[in-house]
Amino acid sequence: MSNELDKHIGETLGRYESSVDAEALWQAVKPPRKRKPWLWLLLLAGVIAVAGGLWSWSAMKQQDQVVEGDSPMVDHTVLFTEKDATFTIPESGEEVASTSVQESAVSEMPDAMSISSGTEKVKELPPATPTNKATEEKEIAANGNTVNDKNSTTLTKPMKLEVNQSVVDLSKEKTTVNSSDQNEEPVVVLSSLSESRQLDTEPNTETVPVLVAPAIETLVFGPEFTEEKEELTIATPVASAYRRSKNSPFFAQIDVAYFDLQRKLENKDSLNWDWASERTNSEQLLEGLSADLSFGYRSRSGWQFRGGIGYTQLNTLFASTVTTQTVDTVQGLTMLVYNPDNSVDSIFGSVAYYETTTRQKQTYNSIRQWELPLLAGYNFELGRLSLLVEAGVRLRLNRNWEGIVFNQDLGNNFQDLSTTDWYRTGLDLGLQGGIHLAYPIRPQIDILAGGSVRYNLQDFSGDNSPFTERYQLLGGQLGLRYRF
Amino acid sequence: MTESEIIRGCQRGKAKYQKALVLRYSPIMMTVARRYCRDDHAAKDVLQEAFIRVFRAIDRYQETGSFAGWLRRIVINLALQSKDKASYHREQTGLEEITHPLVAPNVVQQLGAEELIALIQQLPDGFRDVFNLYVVEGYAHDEIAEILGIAPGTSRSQLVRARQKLQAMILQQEKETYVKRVG
Repeated sequence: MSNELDKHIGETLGRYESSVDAEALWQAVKPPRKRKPWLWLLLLAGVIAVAGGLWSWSAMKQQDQVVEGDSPMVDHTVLFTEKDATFTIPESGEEVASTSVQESAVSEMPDAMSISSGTEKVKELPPATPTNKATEEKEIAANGNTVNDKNSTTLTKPMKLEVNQSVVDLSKEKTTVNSSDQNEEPVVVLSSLSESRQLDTEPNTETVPVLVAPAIETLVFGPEFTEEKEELTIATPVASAYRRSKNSPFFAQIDVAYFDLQRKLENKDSLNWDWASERTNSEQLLEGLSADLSFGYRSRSGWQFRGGIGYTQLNTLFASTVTTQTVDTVQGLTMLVYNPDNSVDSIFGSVAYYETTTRQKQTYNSIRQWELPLLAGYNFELGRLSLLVEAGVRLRLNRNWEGIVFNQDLGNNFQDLSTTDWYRTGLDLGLQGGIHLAYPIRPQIDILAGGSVRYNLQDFSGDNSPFTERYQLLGGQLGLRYRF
Repeated sequence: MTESEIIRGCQRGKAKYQKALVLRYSPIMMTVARRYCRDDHAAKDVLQEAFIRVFRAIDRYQETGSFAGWLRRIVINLALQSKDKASYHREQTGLEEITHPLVAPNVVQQLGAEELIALIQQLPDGFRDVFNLYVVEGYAHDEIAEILGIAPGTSRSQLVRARQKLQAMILQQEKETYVKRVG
């Protein structure tokens, strides 16, 4: 008999499947989904890194522009045709600058013949002062065009030389003016020139005037630049670089945004109104987070157009506390009977005991979307600031979701959203608008801050969803715009 | 979705596969847990804990043996560990003398799975564990002794007494059914 019993039990129970609420069990054992704030921190770090890189690159580019593009290269010989004189300038950028400055003062030079002949020393001048007083039109500064103009300058009049401190320092240089006839047109040695001073070539009764140069025939700018670059404290290039960079119509922009969520949630089936209500009560709207990378074109008139790729995540928090009470019975003492003879009878029977279980569940739900933003805007210039008003569309390319909500029975049963097809996955369209203030933190980089609103034209829910569900977003946005 | 796909998905921590594992194996593992526990509530707790352990330990699972067998061992171990050991030993030492009833084979064959589980759940812990390990799982007494930390002889005696107790309960049940039917 024992063998019969063992065999029957073994065969029956060995493959028997008990009835179990597997969905509830899954919800109970499901590993908690970890929120990943580090993703956003990583994204923010990436934005900062990109901005820093662009900043550094922009700064390096400006330095290169100063040295290479804006440094005047000149020949070293200036011919004074009227008196067949040669004005020789040593090889250095500084002298080139000085020459250009001299040129600016040509009109002031009364007459070359008034310059005294003979080899004279220029009177001692006070040391340079760093007052950046540039001769404006002929300033070599950072504009190549200006330099080119100078390259072909032909001076036909006697000149008065003026050396401007902002451009050059010739204090260590020596300029020699050779005359074809040294008796009449002596060599003038500029032994000490320094900034912010005027080199007066007019006759001086006490100190002999400087140059005996009736006219400068040509100034030819050469290709070499051999002097120390650090001495070339040419007028600040930032302004011109900024002007040049602003001329570029193309730009790249990175935006991050934080949105407040507005949700419209209704049951499709009017009989299930409790479900949407329960979901509203158990699911707290948290926030929408978004990041965009876009490229655009900005016209001179202020209009701009941009498009790129965007990621948006809508977060909610599902929390439930379910208390269940089960009743079980055990055999126990139910009554004591005290008899008149002082004996006691114990009466045993079924005793009910209650077991109360409280289960708390908390899960972060999310809807994640990849989108294609296409935006048009207009920039209002407000001095250094500019106000960008833009609007456009966001074409949703992809959507996925994760999380749980209460199941339809509204008990201690949950619905795993990731296993449902409750949301649309195809292409979708939304509108976006925003107002941003832009401030140039570098000549080519603007930082933007402002507000943004996104309006979804269609419900998020698909045909199989028991709900109609749609989210609208309103929030703040930060961005960096790099103009190429 | 094959078993191998489910296992690999679980090893990658994918919720989709973890859920598939729960849905596929929870009914049969619930039976295992119910056989070793006093009631279904305790069995649910054991099963829940078992799946949590499985998700944590599935990286260590080698696909050389039966996955269901591996899962079953986890459930059994947890069920055995969940018991109050002190109570367990008290029950072992406080055994009453059981007569040797005889149950007709046709009566045994008529018992369904739920009835059998209910009967097994009424066995004292010690009887129940030995009976399950020997009759259903197929362990030898030496293995049972090692698992439960008892002597092999104790395992044998527990098994005999468990059978006797079961037969007595079956007879009692049959008697009550008969009384209800007749009168």
